[in-house]
Amino acid sequence: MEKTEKREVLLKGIPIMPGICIGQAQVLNPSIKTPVTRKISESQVAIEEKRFLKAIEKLKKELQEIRGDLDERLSDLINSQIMILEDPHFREGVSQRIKQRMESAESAVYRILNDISRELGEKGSGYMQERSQELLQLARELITTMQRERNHETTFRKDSILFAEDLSIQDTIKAVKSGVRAIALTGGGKTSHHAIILRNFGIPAVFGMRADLNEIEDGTTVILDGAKGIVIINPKKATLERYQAERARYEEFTKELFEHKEERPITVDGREFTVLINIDFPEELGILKGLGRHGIGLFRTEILYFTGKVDLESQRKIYEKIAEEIYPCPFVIRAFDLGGDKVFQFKEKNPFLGVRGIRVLLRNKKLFSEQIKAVILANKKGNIKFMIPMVSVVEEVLETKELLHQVFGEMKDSEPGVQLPDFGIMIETPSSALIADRIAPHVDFFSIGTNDLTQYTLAVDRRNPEMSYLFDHLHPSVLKLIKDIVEVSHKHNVWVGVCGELAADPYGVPFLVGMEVDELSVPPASLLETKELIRKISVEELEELVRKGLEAQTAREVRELAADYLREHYPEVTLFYPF
Amino acid sequence: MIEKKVKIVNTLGLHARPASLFAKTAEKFISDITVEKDGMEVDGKSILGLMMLVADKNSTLTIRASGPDEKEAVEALAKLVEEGFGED
Repeated sequence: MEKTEKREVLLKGIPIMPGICIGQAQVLNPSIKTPVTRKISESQVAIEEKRFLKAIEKLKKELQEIRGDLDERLSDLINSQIMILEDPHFREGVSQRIKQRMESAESAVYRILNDISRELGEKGSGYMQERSQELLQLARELITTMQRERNHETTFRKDSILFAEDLSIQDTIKAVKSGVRAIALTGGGKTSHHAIILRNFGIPAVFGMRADLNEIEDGTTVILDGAKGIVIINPKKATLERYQAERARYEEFTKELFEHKEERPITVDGREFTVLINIDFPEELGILKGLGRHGIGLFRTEILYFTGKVDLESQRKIYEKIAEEIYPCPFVIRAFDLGGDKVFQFKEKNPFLGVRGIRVLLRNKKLFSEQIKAVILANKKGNIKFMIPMVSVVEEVLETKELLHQVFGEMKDSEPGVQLPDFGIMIETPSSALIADRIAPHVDFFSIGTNDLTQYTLAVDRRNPEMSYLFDHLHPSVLKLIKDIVEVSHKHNVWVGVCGELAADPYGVPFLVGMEVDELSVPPASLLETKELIRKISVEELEELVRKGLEAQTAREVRELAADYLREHYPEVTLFYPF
Repeated sequence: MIEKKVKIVNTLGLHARPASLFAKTAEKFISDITVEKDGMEVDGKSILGLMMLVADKNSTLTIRASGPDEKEAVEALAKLVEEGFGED
């Protein structure tokens, strides 16, 4: 790539988590689909060389393993591939390009093999031309090997702004723990699971960014504005100054929130709401100490499953520790929500409509019973509540309830003092919303999961960036379902909370408060803001807003209604959360 | 230093498989070995170098070796090429 004049570039994506970050870019090796050269920084040279050598060894081993099963002609072909990998000239050439031209390992491999392949293609006979493709194929295999290894090897730089195509859940956590300040992805949707994690940790982020990562130089200065969903590469001085000022204003806004952290969420007309937090990892509790003691409205237990902590003792310990730490506040544990995009053993064409949530659990009674047992054992102080995900029919509720009582019955005598936890369900499918009145007599509480409820109601894949223009939990159809659920809950005296992203959306809170849900459970990063927002609004005034929202034609109209109201009552929030 | 000119006789020329055979054979010798075609000279122990020559059927290669076993090296390699790498 020629050294070009550094130009300010504005990239647009989906806003995931607000916050303004100014810093140096760390670009994770993007996949090479076209022969673009990606430059690396000085500090990256040794790492790239190591990645290259490791990939060579790995691919060599793989080739040697498959060679055994092949006939002579094919194994000769494999042999020549192995020899290319072993060729010191090849290694030297790649290493030179990395060191002297500061190219990424992928770029260097591609360049070298591509040059030779082109030579063969141009000068050789037909047969040679065909063979030239094999070299490119080898380059691709090497690159793929490096990319596969990438996830295990990446060291995230502290204080950097991370750019990647996509991140695994594990890498997202690793990045956050390494002190990455903000994250920009070309993939990912508004409510994909890493979005949820980033919101929990309060890491500003932009997803679905329209950009070619090969064109972003590692180490270059960038600005990320998580509220507007934009990223600016090589900002001009004036741009930088404008954003520094805006960042200062945002910091002022959050400082004020922290000053009010002990104040209870009581509306202007004197109604108190319960605001809880969603967590994914037991370790989060430590980080959250600064927010004061709060109940947990959603503990997603999948992380225990993925880290292999599914045995009775490990689960019990974790649940019990959290329950004690936050006592007397409530602790809502959600049963393993497996399937869907959280990989499980099934290969399905349409996993979101397949074996997921409670459907997985009722097929794996052993796993499910262990979890129920651990929950019951941990409920020493009685503040644990237990709920199941993805219910769509009454039978699932009844079968679970029977299992819950059966497990409890078996334990009662040997474990004196154990208590049956409150039992509830997530309402996140249109069917469970529509028959909430038939489910209500069997449960103690409902928790509305607005992410899936929106996905299933609007028939929009929540992870698909192409679809995010349609994905809005404030669509009148979703609002109408929520209103119906809340009415049923009040009639049957069933506690109703909202634990989806809607509860943390400043444009959604007025509707939920106006409908008088009992509880909002939000990502920790949104806790203080949600409480502050509740303190600025009044239930009585909101009745009309709810009515208008339900009659609205579009999600946009619903948002505008909320925006008009908020501009009057809490203008700062509209400033930092444009829609 | 010893050198010898040889002609590629196998139909498909010095593609990946023959090149790997050539390089593998060359590696057995201590001597430095180079191969030249039309003014381009490459390391005879590097498969990629050999492939870079794009040596089709009937093209002429000059094999050069210098070192303690140069004679044996050139002989063995010339034989390999002249026998068409066991192809056809």
